[in-house]
Amino acid sequence: MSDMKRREFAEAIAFAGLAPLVGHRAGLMSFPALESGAGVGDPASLAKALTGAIRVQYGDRLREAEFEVITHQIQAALERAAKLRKVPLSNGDEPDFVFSPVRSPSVG
Amino acid sequence: MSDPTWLSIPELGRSLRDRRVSAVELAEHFLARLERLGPTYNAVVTVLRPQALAEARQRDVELARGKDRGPLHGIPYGAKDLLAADGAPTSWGAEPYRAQMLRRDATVVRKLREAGAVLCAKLAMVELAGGMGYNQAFASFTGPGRSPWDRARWSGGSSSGSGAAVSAGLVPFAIGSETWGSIQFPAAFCGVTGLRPTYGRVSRHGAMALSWTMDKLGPMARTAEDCGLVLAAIAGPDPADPSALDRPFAFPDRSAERKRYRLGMLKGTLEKTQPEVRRNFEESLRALRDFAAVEEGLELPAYPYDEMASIVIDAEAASAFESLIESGRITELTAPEDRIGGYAGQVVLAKDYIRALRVRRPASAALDALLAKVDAIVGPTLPTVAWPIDAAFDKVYPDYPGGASIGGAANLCGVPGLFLMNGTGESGLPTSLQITGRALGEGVLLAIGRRYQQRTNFHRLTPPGL
Repeated sequence: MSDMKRREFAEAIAFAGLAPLVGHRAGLMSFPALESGAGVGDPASLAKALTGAIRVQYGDRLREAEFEVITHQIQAALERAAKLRKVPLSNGDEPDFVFSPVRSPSVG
Repeated sequence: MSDPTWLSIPELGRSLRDRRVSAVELAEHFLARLERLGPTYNAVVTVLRPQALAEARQRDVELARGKDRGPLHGIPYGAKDLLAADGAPTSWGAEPYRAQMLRRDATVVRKLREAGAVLCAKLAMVELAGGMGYNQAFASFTGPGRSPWDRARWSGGSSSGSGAAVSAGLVPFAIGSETWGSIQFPAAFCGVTGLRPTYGRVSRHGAMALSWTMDKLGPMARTAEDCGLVLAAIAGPDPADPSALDRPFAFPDRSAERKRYRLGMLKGTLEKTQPEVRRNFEESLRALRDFAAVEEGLELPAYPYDEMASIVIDAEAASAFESLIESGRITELTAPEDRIGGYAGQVVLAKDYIRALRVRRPASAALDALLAKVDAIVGPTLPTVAWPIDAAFDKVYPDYPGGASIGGAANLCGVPGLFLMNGTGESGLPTSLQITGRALGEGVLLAIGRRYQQRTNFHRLTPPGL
């Protein structure tokens, strides 16, 4: 961070570019400004609260400018999750993974 | 024999079997290029000279005794440095793991050895396969990956070294990996042929995990045929990887061959692409129409694919690299943004991750229904040529973000993609054609790719000065 101004950095990680795994943490191009009440209350407030969890765990190693970036990233992630809530799911729509209790083909 | 640098795998194989060259001579040739030119492109982490020569000697002995392991017998290759190989460091492109010794072979490395291929180098990559959200080419302790077409341009990532090494003739083929774009980008920026297999087609055992439900390993080579030969060697079930599918793959896949194919194009796929990219894609369509009908105007089913992919990767990477973050050694990563890029993932809500996994299911079904209408969907691999190496990614080519793209959906849903050079664009840099198909449809993609490359010569072009 020392060689990059905070604002530039925040803009950089918030960009919406087409890139391999680049920018996936932040606001992607298809996102308008965050709408409050998108299924999780106020995402900006929730992002700040979740940043608090980061602060509790890692506060001794991060600077305020970095927390600001992290808050922005969390908020963008919540915004993405809000998009997912617009897809209707029923109780029976399972996640696409299967737990197998069988650990060896020779067992059972 | 003549210079083997640019020969395809079948051409090299014929030279070996006709005794015009030995496996040791081939290994020596490519080892020398790796040592001499690898640093030019920041493409190599470790050259495995003694191991490669020992393996090559064994392959020569076998051939002399009549034991032929198949098309890859004696063929040198390189592996992205996220694949474990006994006897060599496996750095994951990241300073904290630079000296990591994983005393085992990844299943892919083992299978290639059994197929007779000779591992010559571990190849450079973006640190942690880009999972910390890098925004610049300088995101690996080996330095920024440089394209052999222009060292001032990025080779793409995260399989940077794999793309550059094939492009520069340092190896005949390489193994890369893709979670979201990491074969696609270097294939396009380096002008090589890359294959992203179906999720589960190739065992991930021994490969660095970024996202257990999205990581794929695949070949990068000169031609679609080469990619098919490599995929045939590395595909298949693996008790060590429950996600590895027990579905046969042979190459060539006769069942995938058709007199005429049906291709589709996404509506708006050419919007906001560089003029040269558009021109070359339209030229590609003319070649494809020799053996295919092209239906335009297809639309992706309406799902938030990119958002799902981001949440899945964030959550899975947060767990995969929790110990790195806990240790504080994440600060040793090269790109400044990567040093703090892992924290937000630590607080992804479980319900959001699970929802992404739940929505992925109907999204995959809907995508498959679209793909089932055609043999494959085609489009430009990327909207621009390789990016300047010193530019922040969010600042490059702002006028050309590209149009409708299938990349996020394809990676999230685990369907295969083939990437082929289809011309040159701005500053003489490669442009690329993307062919995407149904899960387990690699045979069809490769058959289309072969037909395309039989009609064109772009896969034979080599970077200037090499």
